[in-house]
Amino acid sequence: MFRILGAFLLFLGGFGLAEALAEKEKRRLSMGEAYLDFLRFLRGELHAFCRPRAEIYAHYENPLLTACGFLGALRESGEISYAVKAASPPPDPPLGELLRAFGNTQGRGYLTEELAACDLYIARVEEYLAAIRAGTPARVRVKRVCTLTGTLLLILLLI
Amino acid sequence: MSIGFLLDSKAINISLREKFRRLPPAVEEVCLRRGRPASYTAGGKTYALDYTARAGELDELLMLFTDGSLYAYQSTLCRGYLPLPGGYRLGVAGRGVCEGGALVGVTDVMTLCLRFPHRVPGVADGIRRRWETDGGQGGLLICGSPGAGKTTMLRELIHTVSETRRTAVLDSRGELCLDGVGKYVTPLSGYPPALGMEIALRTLSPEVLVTDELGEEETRGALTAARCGVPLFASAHGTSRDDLLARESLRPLFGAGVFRWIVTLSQEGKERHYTMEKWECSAF
Repeated sequence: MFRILGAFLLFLGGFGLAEALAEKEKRRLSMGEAYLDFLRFLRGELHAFCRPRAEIYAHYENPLLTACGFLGALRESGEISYAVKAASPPPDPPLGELLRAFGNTQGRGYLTEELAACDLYIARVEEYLAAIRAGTPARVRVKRVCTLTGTLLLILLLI
Repeated sequence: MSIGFLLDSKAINISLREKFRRLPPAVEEVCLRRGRPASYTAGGKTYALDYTARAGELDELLMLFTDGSLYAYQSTLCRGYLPLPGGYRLGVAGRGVCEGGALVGVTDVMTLCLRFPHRVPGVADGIRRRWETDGGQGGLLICGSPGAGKTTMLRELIHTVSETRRTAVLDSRGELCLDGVGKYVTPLSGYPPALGMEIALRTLSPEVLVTDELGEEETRGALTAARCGVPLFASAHGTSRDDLLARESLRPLFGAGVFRWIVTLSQEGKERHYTMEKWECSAF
């Protein structure tokens, strides 16, 4: 009786872990898309209104970037590189590198240069996300299958 | 961002911050130069400031003053200045970047000149009284050499005249309409001069129109104002009537009788003086 209950609890735990890992994988993609949305917004504001950076950051809203602390740190410091470091959880290392590199180009040039930098890094982030997006379904399946298989093996061993 | 915050900012070299803190209260302008000694002006005299900006430092300062948004001030930087909060003005000189014959940016900053605004309450009261005694009609031109105090005088004139008259001010550099200046004042900031004057005349029904640093662009608007019967107060570079008449862009204004009064500013040591005389002009 207790074995069956234990096996059931293990199975539930394994199922929960599988879903959490799958969710983490999907969230990785959502966060990447949130950063991309920010870059596109910044580009649009620069092109249409040529507003000072502090005003642009004040006008941008994104629940994911607010929740991870990126937007708060950005509004406080005005520096994208600082905000990337302050974000928790941090973005994926390759994405974080792209964002920091983009942040280092900002504020030093006139409109043409600023827009060119935006276009360059938007293209790079889009490329990175396309690769993530293509691989996400497969990674989600692998994580689910591996976790559930591992849970079943554990149940069999214990039973 | 306030000028006080900027000058105290940790982003500025600590040695430079100390220099700013020790400037006399009457400082009029501070000039920082890359690879050359800095200076400050007070009471019309120039003094050495024991500081030499290193390579790249002035570019970093400019980034700080623009809050990391150089592009947002591109148009004013291409005219050689950056308006700062509180009526301060930062003159910027460096290597011009041209495209199609037009200046599109300034890079490798060589000099930054920070001009400090000053209020001299009451200095224009005599001018206003005399102008009003004469009927309060007819334009008034304030002339003087650079640094003579034309903008300061114009600012105080706006303050005193706007106590009783609706005053529209073309404040392109943000130096005239400081906090606390004027009562019935409408500043127009960032407008092209001629267009700004026409808009002010059409929509604000001003009793007085004011512009700083009269030049070719302002001439058309000034002539329109004169035809509408609105007195124009303006400033122009020049130390005498002959200097002003030598400027071709201003001659149509004198010929049309836009200005009835001319106020000439002069400086002797730390003292500044003005003379106010009627401008009688023959038709051109």
